[in-house]
Parts: sequence; C-alpha cells; structure tokens
Amino acid sequence: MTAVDTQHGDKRELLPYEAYVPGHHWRNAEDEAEGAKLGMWLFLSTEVLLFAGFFCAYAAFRLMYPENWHSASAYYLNWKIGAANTVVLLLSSFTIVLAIRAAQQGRRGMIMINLIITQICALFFLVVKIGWEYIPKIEKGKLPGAWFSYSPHGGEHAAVEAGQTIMPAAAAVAENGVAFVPGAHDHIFLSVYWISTATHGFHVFVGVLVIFWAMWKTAKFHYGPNHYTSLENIGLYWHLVDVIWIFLFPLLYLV
Amino acid sequence: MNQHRDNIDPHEYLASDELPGHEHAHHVHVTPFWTMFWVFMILLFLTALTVWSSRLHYFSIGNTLIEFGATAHILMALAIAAIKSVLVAAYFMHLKYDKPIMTIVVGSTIFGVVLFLGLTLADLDTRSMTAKIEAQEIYKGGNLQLFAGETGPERAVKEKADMNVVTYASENAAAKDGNPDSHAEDGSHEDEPDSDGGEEDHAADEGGETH
Repeated sequence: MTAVDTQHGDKRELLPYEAYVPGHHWRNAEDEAEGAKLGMWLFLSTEVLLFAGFFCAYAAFRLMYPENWHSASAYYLNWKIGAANTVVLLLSSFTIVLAIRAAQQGRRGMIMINLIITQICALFFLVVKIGWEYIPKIEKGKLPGAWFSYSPHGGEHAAVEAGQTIMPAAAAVAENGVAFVPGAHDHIFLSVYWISTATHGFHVFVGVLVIFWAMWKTAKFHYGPNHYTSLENIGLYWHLVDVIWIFLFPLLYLV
Repeated sequence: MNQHRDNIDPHEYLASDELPGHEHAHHVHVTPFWTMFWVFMILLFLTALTVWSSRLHYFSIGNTLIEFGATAHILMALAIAAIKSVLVAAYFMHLKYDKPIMTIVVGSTIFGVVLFLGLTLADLDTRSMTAKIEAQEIYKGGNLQLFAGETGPERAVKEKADMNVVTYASENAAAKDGNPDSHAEDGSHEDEPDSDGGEEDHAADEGGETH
C-alpha cells in the first residue's frame, strides 16, 4: 500500500499496520479495537458456560459416587504430568502478554520471540497430554463409560454390558506403587476426565492454529502500536484456555 | 481511502490524533512488564500451594488435631483456583485496565455459572432430606411448628388444610378401608391448589355413595 507518510515527510511504502484504517463504520481505531474485544468477551462467555456443563457433571457424579472418586483420580492420573502442564500453560499465558506488550511498543522481533515461546508451550502441552496420558490410557483400556476396561491390558472386560457392571472381584491392583481396588464407578470418573480434558485439549489445538496465524501476521508486519486487535483477542482466548485448566487440574488430578 | 474519510468525517474524529495537542488521543495502556512478571510468579506459587494443600491431610495446633476431608480439599483447591483466575483475568486479560463493560460481561457470565452449578448442587445435595418425607416421618410444611399455639378441633381443621399428598394418600387408603367420615367435615381444602389429586378421589368416593 502506498501512501504519504506525514511523519517522515517523504513518500515510502507504509507497512500494513501503519497503513491500517479502521472500518468506515467506526469513529476511530480505538473504538474498533474495543468493539472487537467486547465481541471476544461475549464469545468467551459462551465458552465458560460450555465448560460449566462439564464442571456440573463433575459435581453431580462426584456427589452420586463419592466413595472411590479420589482414589480413582490418584490411581488413573499422574498429578506430576498435570502440574507440569499447568506450569507450561501459565508460562505461555505470560509470554503472550509479553507479545502484546511488544506489539504496543512496536518491537516486531519481540512479538515473534514471545509467540514462538507460547507456541512451544502449547505444543508441549498437547504432546504431554496425548503422548503421556491419552495413548497409555487407550492402550490400557481406560476409556470413558462403556468402553472402560478393568483389565490392566484393556479389551478383556467391558465395564458396562447390557446394563451390568462386570469387574474382577476384589482385585487389588498395585500399579505405579499405588495399591488400588477398582471401584464400580471408575468408568464414570474417566468419562468426566475424558470429556472435560479432551474438550480443553481441542481448545488448546485451536489455540495452536490461531497462534500460527498470529505469527504469520507478525512476519507480514500486520501488528504495530496502532493495530494489534487480533493478537489481543488471541491472547484473551489463550488466557481463557489457561483459566479453565487452572480449575480442571486440581479437580481432576489432586482432590 | 483518505478522501472517503474526509467525506464521512467532517469533524475529523478519525484524524483527531494528527491534530496539534492531540498526539495522545489513543490512550493505549502499555502493559507493564514487572507487574505481569510478579503476577506470573504468584500464579506459579499458587500452583505449588494447591498441590501442597491437596496432600495435607491433617495438622495440629498445640494439642488440637485438624483433619482435612474430601470437602475441605475441594474447597481449598477451588478457592486457590478462583484467586488464580481473578489474577489472570484482571492482569493478563487486562480487565483491570479495560472499560467496565468487559467486567460486566464477565460478571454476568459468572452469575450464570453460579446459578447453573448452585441450583444443581442444591438439588442433588439435598435429596437425602426427602427420605423422611417419603417415610412419612415428617409432613410437608411442618405439622408441628405451624400450629403450636392452637389446640382442639380448630387445629385439626388447619392441619388437614395443610396436609400433603402423602397424608391424603393414607387418608384415602383409610377411607377405602371403611372410614367414610374422615373426609366429611371440611370444605377448607377445596380452594387449595395442590390438593387436586385428593379432591378427585373425594369426588369419586361421593359418586360411589349415590349408588
């Protein structure tokens, strides 16, 4: 885009963010950014309500089957993996804040560095989640609801078959150094675990995609002090993903 | 584009930051680094605290042993998570520096979540309380406290007006066993909305008497 750069008094190519003009229905760029941000908050509200459904399911099922809930959580989940993922998500939230700060200051290199760190954290989260949690659970048959298997190797016992719970009688399984007697409702704990973490994991995956998009826009000089609306909204989305994990981690892994 | 701007913007709102003395028309709040850094550090500390508190099962002050059960652990974890979320929302998500309308949106969302979870828990967590009603040990509305000051036939009439479905059912069972006078005397519960089932039974009984 060619235009007159009034500040430097000579003609040159304006960078995309310098040449950015808000939509003609907006009074100025600030109002446009505020409007976009309000829209993003409204979207985040619907996301919060979506996850509120899962927290509701957690509360309801835990109230109905309290007896084995905590020991099932301690046996089927490794809190260290959850804690590592929490730290990683908090770090990525911090770096995306720094990316927005760099955009406000017009430091393009810093935007890029911070987005790359954020992206590494997001990918780390997904790799840990899938590689260290989901795949071993699938292999051992620790799947939600009717697909759950009490056998340590999976596949041999379906948990719920024609409305009846089939489980090895009084089988005290000691794995990972934890003595544990499978309960009749372990598959319900794992249902809550799978639906809430998989939906959250899908949000992390979408976050990875939009952060890639933000990196592309950074590389193309689209973010600068006068225009970083989409970067800010991606940041809001990413923080929401972080906040949801802040609640999921203790409820599923710790208590 | 600029010509278009001049046409729609005679008061130069769009160009206000280019006017002399208006260089800072855009009040962009540059995110402070150290504030955010310390918020991040506090978040890490609270994460460690939530792990530690979940493994704390008892402690003692002097000779008093204090034990934490599942409920205490859930409440501690939720309290810490709530503090962390407020920090993330206020600082990382910039709510502290934004217009109040954003906080209003968040507040109404949280109100919705509290309604959603609160009503569900209020239902599920109190279902055991209906066991005594089902066992007919207590009556709906409280059959003892309501008429504490009154005695005699007046009290009996009022008690009857306040009876619930369970007592009607037993009353009707008694009527079928051959006590027709148990429903003969009062018209007081005719205008009571939730006694419809009982009324129908009465009507059926009276129809039976005309034969």
